[in-house]
Amino acid sequence: MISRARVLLGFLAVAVVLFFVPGIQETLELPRFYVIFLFTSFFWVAQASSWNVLTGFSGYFSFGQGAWYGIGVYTVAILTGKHGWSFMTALPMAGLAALLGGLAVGFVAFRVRRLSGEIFALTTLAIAFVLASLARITTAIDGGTGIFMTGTPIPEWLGEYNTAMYRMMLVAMLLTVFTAYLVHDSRLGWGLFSIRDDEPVAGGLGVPVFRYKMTALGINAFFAGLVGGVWALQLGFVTIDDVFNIRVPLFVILMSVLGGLTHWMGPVVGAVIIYTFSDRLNSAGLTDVNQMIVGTLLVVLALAVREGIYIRMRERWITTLVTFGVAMAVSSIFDLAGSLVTDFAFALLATILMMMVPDSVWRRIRRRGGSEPPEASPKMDQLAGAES
Amino acid sequence: MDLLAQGIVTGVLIGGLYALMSLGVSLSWGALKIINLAHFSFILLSAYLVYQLTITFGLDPLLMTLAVVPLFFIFGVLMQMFFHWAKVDEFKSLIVTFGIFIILQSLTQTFWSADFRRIGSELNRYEGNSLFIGDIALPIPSLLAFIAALGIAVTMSFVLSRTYFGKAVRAVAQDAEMARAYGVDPNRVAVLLSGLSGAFSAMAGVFIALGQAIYPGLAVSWFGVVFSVVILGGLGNTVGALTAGVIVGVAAGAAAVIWGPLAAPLVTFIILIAALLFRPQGLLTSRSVA
Amino acid sequence: MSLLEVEGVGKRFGGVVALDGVSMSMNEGEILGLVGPNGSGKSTLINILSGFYPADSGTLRFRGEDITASPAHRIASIGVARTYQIPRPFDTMTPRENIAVSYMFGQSRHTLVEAQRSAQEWLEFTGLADVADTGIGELTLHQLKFLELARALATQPSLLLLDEVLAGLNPSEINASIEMIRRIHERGITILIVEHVVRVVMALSDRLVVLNQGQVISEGVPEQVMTDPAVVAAYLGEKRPGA
Repeated sequence: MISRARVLLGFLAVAVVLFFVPGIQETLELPRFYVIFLFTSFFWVAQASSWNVLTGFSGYFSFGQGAWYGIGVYTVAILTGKHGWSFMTALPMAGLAALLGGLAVGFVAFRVRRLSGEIFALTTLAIAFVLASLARITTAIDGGTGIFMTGTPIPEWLGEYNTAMYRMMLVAMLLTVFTAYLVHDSRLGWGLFSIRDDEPVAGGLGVPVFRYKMTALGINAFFAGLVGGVWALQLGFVTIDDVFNIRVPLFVILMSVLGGLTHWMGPVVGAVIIYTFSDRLNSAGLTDVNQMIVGTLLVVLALAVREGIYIRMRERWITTLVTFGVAMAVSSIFDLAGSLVTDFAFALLATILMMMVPDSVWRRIRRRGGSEPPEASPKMDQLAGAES
Repeated sequence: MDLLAQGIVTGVLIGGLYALMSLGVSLSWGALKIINLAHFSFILLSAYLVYQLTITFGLDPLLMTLAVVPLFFIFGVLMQMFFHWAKVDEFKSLIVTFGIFIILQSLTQTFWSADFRRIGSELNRYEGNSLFIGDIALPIPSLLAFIAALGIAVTMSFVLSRTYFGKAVRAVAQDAEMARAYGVDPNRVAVLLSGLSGAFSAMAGVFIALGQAIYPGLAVSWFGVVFSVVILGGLGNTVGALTAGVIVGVAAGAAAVIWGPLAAPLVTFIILIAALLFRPQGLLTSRSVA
Repeated sequence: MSLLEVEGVGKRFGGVVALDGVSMSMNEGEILGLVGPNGSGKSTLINILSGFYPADSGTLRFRGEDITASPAHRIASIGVARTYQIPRPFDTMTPRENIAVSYMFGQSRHTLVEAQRSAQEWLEFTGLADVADTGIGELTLHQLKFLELARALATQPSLLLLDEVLAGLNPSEINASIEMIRRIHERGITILIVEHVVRVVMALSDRLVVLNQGQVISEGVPEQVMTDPAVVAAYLGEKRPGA
């Protein structure tokens, strides 16, 4: 059973290890690429996690991740690029602006009675386009010319520019995922799950439905904007088409659906997997195919892996660890691939394939080979083992 | 003043095209309870196929209707059969159709690249030509689209209200299980309706190819217009879609004249948001499917 | 002061008038039966009483407090709970988790861990302790209805609205349910029971209110009400009550 103390310890351990990666990379003279790879992974983990707090937990489908992310990026770009603000003061503004945007949408869209789920989904779809159009028209925002971000000054005490950027993204990501964990394991989380399962009934039992939905949306928007603000640092030149396109909303959906919508670890796993594959495909020059694969994956996963890969991984955790370890070892020892990241991708692929073996077949194999009983449903863990 | 009048006329005609583009999504959502984002890629792919067939065989692009409409009818049928087999419910339908949209759109981009494609005036005698009533020009491609939309909307309205098939569709839209008890096979109705929706989307694609240059990014740019029309017109309401299409077309056209072309998508989306929040059941609900 | 006062409540859906000036009251600790032919407005009244949707006209008072415009979760928090005609459990959760959610958001607002412990009490009260941790899909209709009851009871209501809780059950299950309702009543909970099965309602209720076409046509002690000519006409004129 996973107690709160242990999770906290886990977070701290991960934080410490990742914090020192840039130092390790320099000392061991490893390619700088690894730091960049991690930096981008953190971005996607955070975006997917924040999206899932709303959509996965409450069932209210949001196409709007691009809107909150875009507000975050543009807030930082405008404040630092056009008005000379310092980054550290602009960054919280990014989160705040996105938060306000999200709450405004929620305030209107969540009050509708009929078709509230569909209407919310379409409203979030529309918001991103509205913001993009507004930005294009309003010269105070962008006016179609874009904003230059090169050489944004950051405080001295953060250290070397790239390392500081990496660490800020790390912190932002940890904050986001930790918040998702806190929500999952709280009264808010259970309220959201009950809203997802049956909103009128939940209301009838005393769940403050409107307040909870707004809270989930607020968390989603705030972190999307905050993380977007950090991401803006490395953009150099911010344009509307680059920021307000389909990539962010599409990928967070895919990542969360793959990893699992019902658990806070789902988007984390999903983001790591999807980003790794996407990055390897790009480096192999298969950018066009990339989108097609993404689309196919989305269809297949939505239908095939119902609860998400993460839950499967927990049920078959021994297999997961063994498969991953063996594949990683084989790939790097025999140097089958050029880079450590490619080894990682292979190992992930092998693990996923093992997870996709259907339950019926799996149980038959397990019964023959001696058993590993599946763990109890992860949600039960919180109720049974959480010490509060 | 004349500029505004022209803008309005152009807007009305374009509204017909908007309506045609929206019929697929409107019918799917109203009758099948599926928000089918794949239709956007159907329209796009249909336009590209019309383009390709026209320049390959050197025939009149309008004639290509005979090729794409049956093709996408079949696509619609296959898609609905897939949904039925995979037990896709309303929530999943958003994700799954989004995925199909992405697949088809990137397929389009892979085959034809991101460059602009245009049929060209030697083969396309419709584009750039207009029928003139006084000083007001009626561009032929949108005029044709408007006529097609009008015809289809009126016919479908008749079909839905007077024929057995239409009644079956409305029964299934309200309560599939009850309809089954009365001898209607909801699955067959759904498959047929999905085929029709595909055909309508293909039709829209024909007029798109006739009237403008096409590129893969077009599909995403239609989201706002189509959903505005669908919501404003009422789910499953074909005449409503035409009316809403005209309203959106005129509003966007007028906005473009008064504030510049960039204002048009903004106006469209504001209409969508307003419709979503204040009148989600549409303007003319009495004749809608659900 | 009565526990619940309903005055002149009206509700229409489009052109259909579901409730037309309904007035009634409930006393603390009684079991009130709400009967009437199909379409008389019984479920609509329950939906309005629990805040599912608002009344178009009239007032509702609970312990003197005006709850006419109150949202569902507010009404739940002051002590009104309901069950649904067709059980609506949270189907991604186990029975234990379903009840725990009630505990977390009911009047006492338990924490996560307390809620899980307290759920045990209601699991045992309704005899569901054995299936507490199985998936919802594996429960029988009877068990689902008892889960509905347990979940409603976990909000610690003073007033419990039962909406056709016996529909679809066989005779022995019905007897078990009657027994359950009596035990709930013994705990001091006021009960409003909507039911088609007349013999049950007659046996359980202290008083009856009869609705027909959205209006109250009779009210009083069961024997008296069921022999009221207006009531007989209402039933025989449309449908016979189920036996």
